[in-house]
Amino acid sequence: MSRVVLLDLLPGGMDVNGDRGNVLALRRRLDWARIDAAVVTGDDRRWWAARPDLVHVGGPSVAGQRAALARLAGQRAVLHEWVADGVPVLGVAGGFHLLLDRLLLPGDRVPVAGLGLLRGSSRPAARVSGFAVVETAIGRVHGYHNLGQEAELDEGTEPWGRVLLGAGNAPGRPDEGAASGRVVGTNLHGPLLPRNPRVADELLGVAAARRGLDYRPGERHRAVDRIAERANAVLHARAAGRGSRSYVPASAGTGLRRPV
Amino acid sequence: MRRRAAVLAGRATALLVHLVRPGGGTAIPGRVALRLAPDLVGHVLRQPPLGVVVVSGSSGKSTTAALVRAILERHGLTVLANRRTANIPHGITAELLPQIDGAARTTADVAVVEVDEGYAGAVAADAAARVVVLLNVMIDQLHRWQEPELVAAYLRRAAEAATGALVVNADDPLVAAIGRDRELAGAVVRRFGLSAAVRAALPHPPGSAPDFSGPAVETAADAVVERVDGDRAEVRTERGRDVLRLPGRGAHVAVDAAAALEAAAAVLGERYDERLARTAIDASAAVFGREETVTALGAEVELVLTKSPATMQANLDLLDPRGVSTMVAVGRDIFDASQLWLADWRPLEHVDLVSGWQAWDTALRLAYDEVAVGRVDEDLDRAVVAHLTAPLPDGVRRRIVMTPESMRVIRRRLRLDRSAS
Repeated sequence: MSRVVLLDLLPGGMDVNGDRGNVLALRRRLDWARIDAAVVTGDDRRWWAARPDLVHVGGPSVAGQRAALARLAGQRAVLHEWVADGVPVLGVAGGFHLLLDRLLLPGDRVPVAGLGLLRGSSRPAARVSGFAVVETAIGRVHGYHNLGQEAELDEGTEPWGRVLLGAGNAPGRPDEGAASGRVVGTNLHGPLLPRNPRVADELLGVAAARRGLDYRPGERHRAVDRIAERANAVLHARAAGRGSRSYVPASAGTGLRRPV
Repeated sequence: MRRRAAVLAGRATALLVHLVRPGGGTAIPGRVALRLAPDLVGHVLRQPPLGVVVVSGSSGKSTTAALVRAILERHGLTVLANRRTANIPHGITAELLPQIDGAARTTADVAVVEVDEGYAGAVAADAAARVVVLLNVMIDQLHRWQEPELVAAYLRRAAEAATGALVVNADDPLVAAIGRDRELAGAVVRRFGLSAAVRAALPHPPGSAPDFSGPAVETAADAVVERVDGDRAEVRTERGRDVLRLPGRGAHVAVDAAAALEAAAAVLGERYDERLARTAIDASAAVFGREETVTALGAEVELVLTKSPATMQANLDLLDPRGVSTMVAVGRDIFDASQLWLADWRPLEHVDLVSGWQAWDTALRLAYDEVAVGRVDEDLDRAVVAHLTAPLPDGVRRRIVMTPESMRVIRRRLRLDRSAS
């Protein structure tokens, strides 16, 4: 029997924002639709020999991004082959920035080459940490942003969406993320897919079709998606209530200076 | 003179606060005192002849500090400490005020303070810390810390301030790397950790943030937890082998106990008596243990505190869902609900009621772990009453799994006055 192969490109130890929740969401939604799935991760030996139907790139810390690029540099060609073959790719937060052509990582003086799946560059920026609401082609997306990097897209590269609340590719600009063919990158991290099931279902439809399977969400999906709707309504209200500023709760330490 | 004024003003404020809001723990008196004498914390903490122990890290600070304190007290020392676990400078000051005289003097033999990660370096330097204990850098509160590496940088400053020994977790990559670097710089470094067998038997790894700065540091620990069985643990040190009764269940608590043994031994030197240390830890087990089950509104309920994703996981792994009606309350302290996705919630199996500031996000998280959820009520006051008064079949117990902020709300609602964080 045919099964859908999901590749979670970064090793599990690099997940700081719960990005693996995206992969869990993909797996569960396939399971609920009675489609078998296999998950290959960057921890697995010879992951590049997998023939994935969908690639997820989570967002590690800056030090983690540096380490990830060192690991992935030799496998750039295979990633490009997959994309040329129509495999959908989702990069979240730091994972989105890894997909760009060039990255100047915070603390570095020399830019490094990214994976080059999206046209643009990443550079250090003031940290943004807070809620975000984004209008995309497939509807409104809710999430959370925690990055000290901004993305500058090259001329002709489409953003994934438009910022309604919170921050996007750079403070004060309306563009958020990038999309090119079936490659999508977004600054929103963590459980983007469980709370935005339309994004998950679009990816899964393509991935399943690659195996000749018809992915159809059912009653179970709808029940869970109603919970996501409530969670998003709460997030939206909080994002709107606090404007576009990032928000640090009063209990968190204020006046903390970066260590020297 | 300035310090006298600071102590007086701080105490007057404390009295006022107590009149306005009895029982409410607050850092306001500390804020007032520090405004008048910004060096008050360092000034007080530098006085004890045996020096000060600073305990910091993402997870386990309060338990470790309480155990160090208990061991030192059992050795007949008087200890200056932030017992109510207020761990940023204002709160620490507020806690020290009642323990010093009008001229900001103390007669304590030694001080033990737990300090928030962000302030650990500053407090350790101001107080000329003799022993610094670094527990771990977990993936935790990233809306505040941004990245684990920043927390490690703060802790590194604390390590550099230690005038005596640095006590580090050998199993935590970022903290172990700090230990390695300090040792290379000539510092005295003591290590604690789990044996390979205990590590291998954990259902989930301990949740430490990874270190990308170089090859992994692998060093034998001086205090090794060799066996954990519920709230019993066997710890081997160069001084012998102890079977301890822990103040809680699980390997993460055993690690805190091992840290406390090393820290106390570093303070006491020749005076350290392993037997006294063991009895001190056994005695604290009794004090902590009582807090887990409380009676309110005529019902008995087990309270399970979960903080960072790492302790969340450690606690979830210890729960037996059979014969239990569970409520989960996640508060604003898990500000970014993404953190809920770092833990595996399947051990809960079934949750009757989900509440708190993050109620809907928590329900969503549980749904994807296929944990059945009864209902969601964002109103925590109402939910906790409902959970405690709902009729249950014979033999079914009640449990609330919650974050510290929810814990405070629930304790206030149930009029449970014992402070807990």
